[in-house]
Amino acid sequence: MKRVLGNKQNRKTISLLLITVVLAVIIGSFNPDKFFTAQNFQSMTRQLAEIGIYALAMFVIVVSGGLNLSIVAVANLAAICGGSVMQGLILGDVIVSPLARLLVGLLVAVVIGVLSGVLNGYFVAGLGLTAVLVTSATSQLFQGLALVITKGNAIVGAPEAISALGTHNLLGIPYLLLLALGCYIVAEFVFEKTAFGAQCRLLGANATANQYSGNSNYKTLMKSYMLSGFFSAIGGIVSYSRMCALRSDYGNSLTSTAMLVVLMGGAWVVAGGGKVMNIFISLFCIQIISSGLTLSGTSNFTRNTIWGALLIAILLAATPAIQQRLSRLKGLARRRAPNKGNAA
Amino acid sequence: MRKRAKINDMTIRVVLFLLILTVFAIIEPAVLSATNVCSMINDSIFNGIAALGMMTVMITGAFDLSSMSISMLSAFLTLKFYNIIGYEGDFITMFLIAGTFGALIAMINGFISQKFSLSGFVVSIGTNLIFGSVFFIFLRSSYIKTDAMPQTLLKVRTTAILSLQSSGGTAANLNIGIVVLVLTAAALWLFLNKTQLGRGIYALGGDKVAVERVGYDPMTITLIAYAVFGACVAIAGIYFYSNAGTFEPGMIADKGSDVIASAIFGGCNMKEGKGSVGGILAGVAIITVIKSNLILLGVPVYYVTFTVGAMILLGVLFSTLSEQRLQRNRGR
Amino acid sequence: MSEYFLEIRGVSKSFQAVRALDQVDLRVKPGESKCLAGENGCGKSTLIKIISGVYTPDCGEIVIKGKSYTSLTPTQSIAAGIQVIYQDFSLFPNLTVAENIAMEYNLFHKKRTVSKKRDRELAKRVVDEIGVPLDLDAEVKSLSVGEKQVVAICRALLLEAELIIMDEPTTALTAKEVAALYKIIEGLKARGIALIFVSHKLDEVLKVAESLCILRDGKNVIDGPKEDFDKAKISYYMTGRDVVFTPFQPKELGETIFQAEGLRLAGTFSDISFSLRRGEVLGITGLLGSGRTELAEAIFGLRPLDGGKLTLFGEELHLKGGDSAVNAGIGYLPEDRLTQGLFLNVEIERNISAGIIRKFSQNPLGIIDKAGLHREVAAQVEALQIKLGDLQDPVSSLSGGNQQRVVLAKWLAIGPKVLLLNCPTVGVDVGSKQNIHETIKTLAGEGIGMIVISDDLPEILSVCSRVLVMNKGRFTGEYGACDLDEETLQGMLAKA
Repeated sequence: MKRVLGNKQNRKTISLLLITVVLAVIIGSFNPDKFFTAQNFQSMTRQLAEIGIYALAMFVIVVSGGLNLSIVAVANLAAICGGSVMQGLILGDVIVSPLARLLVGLLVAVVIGVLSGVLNGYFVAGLGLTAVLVTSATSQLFQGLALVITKGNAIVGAPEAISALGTHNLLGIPYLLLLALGCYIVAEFVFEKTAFGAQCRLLGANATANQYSGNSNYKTLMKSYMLSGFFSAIGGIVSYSRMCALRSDYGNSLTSTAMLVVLMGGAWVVAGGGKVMNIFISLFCIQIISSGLTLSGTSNFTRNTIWGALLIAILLAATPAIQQRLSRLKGLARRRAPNKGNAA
Repeated sequence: MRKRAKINDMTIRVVLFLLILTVFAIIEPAVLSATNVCSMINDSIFNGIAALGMMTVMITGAFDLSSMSISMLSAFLTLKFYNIIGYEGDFITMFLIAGTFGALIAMINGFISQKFSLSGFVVSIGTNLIFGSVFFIFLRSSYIKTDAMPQTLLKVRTTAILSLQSSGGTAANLNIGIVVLVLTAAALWLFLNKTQLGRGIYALGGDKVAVERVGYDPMTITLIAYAVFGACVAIAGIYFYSNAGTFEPGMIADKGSDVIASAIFGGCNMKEGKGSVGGILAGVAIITVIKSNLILLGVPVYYVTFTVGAMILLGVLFSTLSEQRLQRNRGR
Repeated sequence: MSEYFLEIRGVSKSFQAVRALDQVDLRVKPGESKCLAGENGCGKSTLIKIISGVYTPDCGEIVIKGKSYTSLTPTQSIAAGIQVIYQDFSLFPNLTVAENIAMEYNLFHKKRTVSKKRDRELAKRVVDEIGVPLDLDAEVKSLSVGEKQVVAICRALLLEAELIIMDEPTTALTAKEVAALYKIIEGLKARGIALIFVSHKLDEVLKVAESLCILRDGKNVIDGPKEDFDKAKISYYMTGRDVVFTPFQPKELGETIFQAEGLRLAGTFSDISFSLRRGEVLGITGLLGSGRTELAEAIFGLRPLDGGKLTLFGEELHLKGGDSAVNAGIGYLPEDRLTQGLFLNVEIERNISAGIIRKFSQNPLGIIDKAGLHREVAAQVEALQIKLGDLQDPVSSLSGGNQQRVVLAKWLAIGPKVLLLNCPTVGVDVGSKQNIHETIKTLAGEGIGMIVISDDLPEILSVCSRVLVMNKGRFTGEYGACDLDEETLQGMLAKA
């Protein structure tokens, strides 16, 4: 037990868990009959799945030291292309059976996601441009492309399988939560077990040293942008399943929420670090706050302000100046309660 | 050799602008009609003033996403301020007050990023959310209707410095806003090139450690750069809302990418502390001539976002490639 | 008034528990040039920062022209006529030469406005005084290193400097530029300007310095005129022990391991050919800018060659990037340990395993064999006797010597056939230096082709069995280590 607690990363996980539970209790106690219901749990986790997958798409890039602002645009583009195939708007004459349309549509969405990653990766890794500039430009590009395809309108309707994904449960657990869980398990596997994950982390820690260690930054970055595009596409399908409609400008605010989750999970602060597990827990944390706000009927303005303030607060809390002050406070508290100090 | 390269970049921009304009004019002669020329110039005002502000921050090596929130918020505060004191407003105080609000708000970003040595960009993601919403939390409505606006300000819409009556009966009006753009550009040029503080902004973009060693206070320079940025986007914002005649927070949000596109096309380079007033104006001209004429050329509205995205990418690519070419020349 | 321009008396400075300076004295007369020497971490830079007003001393006295201070602020220091030229020159690459020269002057004299004409006139005055042609309108980033240094000196002169402190002034300069610098320095001395050189490269600085002050572990060791010293003595005072370097004589030479024929990289080097035989340590030496680092990086695949052929055990190599070099069995220990060699905030274990991740994940899914990786890392730590607390500590917690051994361990773990070492003992204490040299010789004996690239001549002479001299991108000579001494090698390098 002592060993588990002693590890710094584990300590972070545990404190995140604690914060989440405490938050759930506090926010739940305001509105217990609405908050602690199966229905609320299901609607919460569906929303969580969406944000969570976007957060993963962001995490993949943040680990390697960049930032991806094009996630939501890629997601919408992928969903629009995939969804159009599913509904027979594209290639409707060639692919007739609904099942074939569904499968081809999913494939198209994923391929679009990965291809968009290739484009981002080419500019960032191949030409060495700043990730923020490139992805904010490609974000426009992809959103523009989506607009061109939809001609500025929403495409309403979805195949049954997709709408079922967004509304049905398996033993009371929404399919979407299971899907998100699956994505997180994949990410956990990639970043904890595989060579690609290890190289991503080294690249994020020091890109120059990684190159001088005989690892190819180009290949690693390219793969990570492709993986980010892949997760974005899945995020797009999740959004589609929840809305049963396709729009080019859907969910623009989700980028900052995704960043908030990743930041809270600690990936941003430790260059090349951050555990997938911590991202997953902070996802719940953010979602509980978000649901609490929705239940108490606050406006988007309040929510945005709180997100912004949280973002800045977490950023500041990780800076050395504040860290020092915090540890001094901790030291004071420990001196006042010597018994507790010895135990730790 | 360096000098020649600089002329080259600027020349390329001007040639590009003329080329686009010519091609457009050949396709659709109405592009060069007095009405359309005036409307293009009017379209460039907001973008131009805001891009000049954006440039100032980019020269120091930072990048700020919250420009449109700052713009909107300072315009809102100015309008509310007039409402509270019951003043119908006038042009001069309007720009001064909005500029002051904008400068103060933007300095928050600068302070946080400099004090805690955080990336200004990441800080601005957070403050963007806050500035865009914090003042509306407790208000019943975030709109200001036309009849609730300070009435004198609405005259911005109709005040023209030049009015031409074309044969078709349509009027071509050159809006007063172009004066603001020209004045802002001139003031900023003087500040950046002729004052010690202005040079400090370039110096900060050149080398963050050296700037302290030669005797500048990096915090002061950062704050001033952000203040200039804030003032510019706020002036652009109050102009925009006065011109629109109503206030609604979201109206301005999607204009941010044009500003970034203009700054990048104008040759701003965050990595090297580069950017010039002339370059920005050329960048704004290019972006405006494309965006304003697409509709006239019969391109559907929904192609505009795509075009702007492609333009930014091209701009980034162009500046990188010309930089690489320069380095290769130096190597020889 | 005292005869000294600057006198430091009994200055001490501690950082938390570390005593960086302990009762240090230093004296400089007007027109004198003094060398402040010592190993890395001996307190040289702390002392400079106290003189320039960045740090406040804990105790002691600073006397400038007879006026005593307990501490200085940066402004006071500049006003007193003290100027520091840092190793990176602190110039602004995006501004012109004239502006760079005039900027600090304008700020110091509280000028609020800027005039290009005034800047040019000010700059022209000092540039003419020094007599070096400089294009005042060029952007500083287009200048060579030597020209940048001249700009920094001009900036100092414009502020009426009476004492110029130069941090490692000759490290980055070519022989020609060093000669030009010496000429400038003579001119400065003649004008009564005092100079302090901070350096650990004695050969070059000894030429201009009139007296030496040596620090070790934050204490004065000795201070006296140049004539009292010879190289062995200086080395003894700096390190506190006698260091004997014995030339390396391989027991036997085996077959050819690695061969380069006609390597060419446009604008950097050309016509580079050499071969490396089993058992020997090949040295490549040249001044900074001679193309030695670029050559090493090209052999490691980081710079695509424009021509030439590389063969390893008779097989031709086509390298695209460092990963292909590692796959072929070539390792490269880079020059700059802190930014290129190490992931500073990352655990020691992951640092050592950075090069072998691919080797231990040869399966379709790329799953890492963590146990195998750990065994390999532990074996290397054992073999190189790296002193560490825990493999999970960040590598930044180690001393310079141990950090360098971590980088070496990373490369030995890949099982290299050829290992390129670029300046392997920069910033390493003397004990570790000898230890690393012994390791290099042992590895050569074990059959790894070793190439040492360095401008540290004693190092080249004591580890290499054969030395290639590189000048302006070409090999200008090849020598057996036994036929060489430092003077001849020095002469070979400077011959431009």
